[in-house]
Amino acid sequence: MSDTTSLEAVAADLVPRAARGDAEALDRLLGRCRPSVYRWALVQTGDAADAEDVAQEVLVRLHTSLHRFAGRSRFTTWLYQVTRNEASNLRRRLGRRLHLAAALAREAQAGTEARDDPAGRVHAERVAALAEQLLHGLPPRQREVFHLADLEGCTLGEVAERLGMSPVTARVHLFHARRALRTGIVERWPEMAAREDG
Amino acid sequence: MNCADARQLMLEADLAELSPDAGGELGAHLATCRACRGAADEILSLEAGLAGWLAAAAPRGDTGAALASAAATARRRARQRRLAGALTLAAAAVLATLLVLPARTRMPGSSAPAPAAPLGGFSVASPGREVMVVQPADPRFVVVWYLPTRRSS
Repeated sequence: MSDTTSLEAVAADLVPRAARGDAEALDRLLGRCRPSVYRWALVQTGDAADAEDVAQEVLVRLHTSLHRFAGRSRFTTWLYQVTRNEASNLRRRLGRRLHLAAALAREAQAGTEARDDPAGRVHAERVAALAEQLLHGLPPRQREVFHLADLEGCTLGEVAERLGMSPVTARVHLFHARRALRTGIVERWPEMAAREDG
Repeated sequence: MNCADARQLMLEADLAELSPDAGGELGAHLATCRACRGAADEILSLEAGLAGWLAAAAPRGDTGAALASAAATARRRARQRRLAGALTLAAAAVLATLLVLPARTRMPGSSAPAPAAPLGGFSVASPGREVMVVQPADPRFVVVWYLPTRRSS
């Protein structure tokens, strides 16, 4: 079960209770939403500290605006929109370009250095490089579509609904993102294969 | 299918199409070509690693403290909204008084304004708004305010 599906199932139980004023349900809902919102914000902002700020602001918005969720869309779709808006507000407030991957690459690198096995370290280094490329190199739309479709396991229909685009457009963005991320891998491979054979 | 075609397809393929048991033309090629199979495995491995890395990313700090902070901020903002609503109403009341008062402080002997004609229409506040209607001194005019509805916290 993907994180989105699991969150949607939890929300179906907790959102109506929280909207009726059940404080315990609201606390459980916010606690469950926080990690997902943080990851979405991380992909949006590319910075761990900014993602924390966005996640905190979204929790406040959930406190004050849950009654505005009318149930016309999925809860996760609405929550994703709230997160995107907060990330966008933060970027405007900060008035600077995204400093996307530097801190994240450092974190991924830290995980790499803790490994003892050289093969695992090489793999983790490549993952870190891919993370940097994902968060730094891709245009925002491609980044969001790739993240939701290939990393969070959403269907293209769900991705399109969340991002307010047609499934066809979402697919085009997804193909562009995959090409950008995989070209380096595929291009590097024949050389490595030749080395192994030799 | 040759390797060049396979690698073009691999750039856009769904992950399921790159798995070892995938069918189709691409799957058939990957089953027989060691180099392309290696590239496909590399893509699968790195994207799985990326998904795992992102899934493991979690906000720092205690969730309980974050929720308490969010609740406190929400309460503070609700108080600010209530205060802003009260100030808006107070300002509207002062303005209404200023507009109505001249009609009641007319000097003796001055000519009284003509009786007001009945209002020829009505207005409905849109959802989420409250309406306030004030008849000023000049009967030709009616002042209508649409105010945001005050939300309960």
